[in-house]
Amino acid sequence: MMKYVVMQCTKGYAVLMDEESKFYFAANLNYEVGQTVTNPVILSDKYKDGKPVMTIIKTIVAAAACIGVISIPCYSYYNKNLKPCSTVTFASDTAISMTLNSSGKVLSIESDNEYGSKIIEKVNIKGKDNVEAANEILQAEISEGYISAGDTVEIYVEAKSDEKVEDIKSKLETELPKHDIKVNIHDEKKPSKREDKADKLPHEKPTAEITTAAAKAEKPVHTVKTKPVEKPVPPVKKEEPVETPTTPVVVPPADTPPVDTPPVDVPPVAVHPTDTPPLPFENETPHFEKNDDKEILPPHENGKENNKEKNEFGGVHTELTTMGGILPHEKK
Amino acid sequence: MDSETHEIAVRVALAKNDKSESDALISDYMPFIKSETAKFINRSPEQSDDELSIAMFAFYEAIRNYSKLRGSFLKFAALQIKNRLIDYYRREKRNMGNISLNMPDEENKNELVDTISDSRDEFSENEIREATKQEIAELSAQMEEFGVSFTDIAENSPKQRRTLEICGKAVRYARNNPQILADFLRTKRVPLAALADGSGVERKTLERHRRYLVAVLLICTNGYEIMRGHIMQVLKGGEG
Repeated sequence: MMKYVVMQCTKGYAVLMDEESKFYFAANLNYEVGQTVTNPVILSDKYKDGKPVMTIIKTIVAAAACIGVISIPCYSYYNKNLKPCSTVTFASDTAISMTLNSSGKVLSIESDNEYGSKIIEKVNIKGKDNVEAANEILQAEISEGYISAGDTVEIYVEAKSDEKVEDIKSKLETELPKHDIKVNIHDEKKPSKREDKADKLPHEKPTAEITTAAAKAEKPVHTVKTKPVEKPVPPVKKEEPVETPTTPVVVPPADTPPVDTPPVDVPPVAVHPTDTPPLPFENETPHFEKNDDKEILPPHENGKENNKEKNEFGGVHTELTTMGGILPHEKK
Repeated sequence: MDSETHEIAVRVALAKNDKSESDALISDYMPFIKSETAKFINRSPEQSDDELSIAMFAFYEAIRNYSKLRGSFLKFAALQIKNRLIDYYRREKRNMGNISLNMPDEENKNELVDTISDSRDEFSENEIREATKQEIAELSAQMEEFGVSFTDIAENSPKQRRTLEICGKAVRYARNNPQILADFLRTKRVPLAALADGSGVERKTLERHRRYLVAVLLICTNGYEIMRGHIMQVLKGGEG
């Protein structure tokens, strides 16, 4: 037990010195100077004004612990319930996109068009499971007439991990076919809006990308219809025969009645006289430069403007340039 | 703040650094201290009661630690007294299993202490105490020449173990080099540079505890055998 020598006594306190040569203020329990005492009541720094460093450190550590205790559950709650984890997009007219959390609940729903907005107003799927939400959306779309029985709905699932995509995909594939529609679920991003828009003609009402398989098969191929040429075909300029005499090109007279020509897919035919070497340019493939605004037709070999013209329907009246040959119908 | 409260605050501010003023304040407020003690022990305290001594010490603590931010001084002092007495009772509670020597014996004739044979030599003990008292008085007088008192030293004493060890290292170095102690007595200044260089400790640490070093270095000089014997643990620390 530490012994203290009483060095000084006053009314309020006594000054003691211990065996380690430390000096203390202590309560003067009727001490006398020179007395050796044990167990004194030593002055405490508990209520001292200046905060000791340890107190500040303790406060900081306690504050950090409190922040940790609060923030760690908050962060895990955020990760589990509020952090967007995956997206399910319906590639229909409505273009509805659902954002899901890690447990597959709907966080938000959005659409970039008015059709989608109508559906969103109609359904209340926030916080619901993605399968239930998808069912409600499809039900709403069916009731609104955006899709009908037998249609195929393309659904795109996007997530950070492949496992998540597979999980959502399998659930949707299992649950959604309850409706009379066929559902195709893709684990990839929906084609961009730009591409979508590019596919649509401007005057058309935005059509669904939901198409039945049959409709897809019967989907007409966009072809350019050609109308009968009403104008008389200008006579092909007679070319000077090259070196050897060739079979003469039969040029229809100027007053030849217009011929109803079907869409021609026949490539330009070059007829060469036998035993005649081809001209240097004949082996070259005709080069056509395409331009969205203006169709540039290949120039005539002798520098004149090509005789292809757009007709009044926007179709192209194709006049075959013969290289010393005869068109099949002209043979008649 | 009324005039009385203001007056107390002024006196407390003065008593913080003035020992006589703090003693005067304690004497003036002794009825208040006794009243607070009586509230706790449920009787009027006597001068010999430890509780009263604890309460007076708590009042002194209140003087040292008071600031205007703590509100009224007397309320603060009352709280301090109450807390100190609670602490004291808690500490005493640990010794509850022990029997007091002042308890009456089985026959209720004498106290237990009277029945125990005293192996101590009371006469020699008194002699040692008197000698110690005399040494302390001499030390106090010599310290006054250096401009320090025991109160200053108690305030300037190292609180942390590491600081205490640094100071002990410097003191041991001085003890092993009598020339340093001679210079210290002659110049009446602590040779901080020589101590720092010789013992390899930071001068700044020694500077902070200059008044404490005065007392310990004086004890190391001739004439304070009892004091030196008391702190021999520190002085021998570096010699083993």
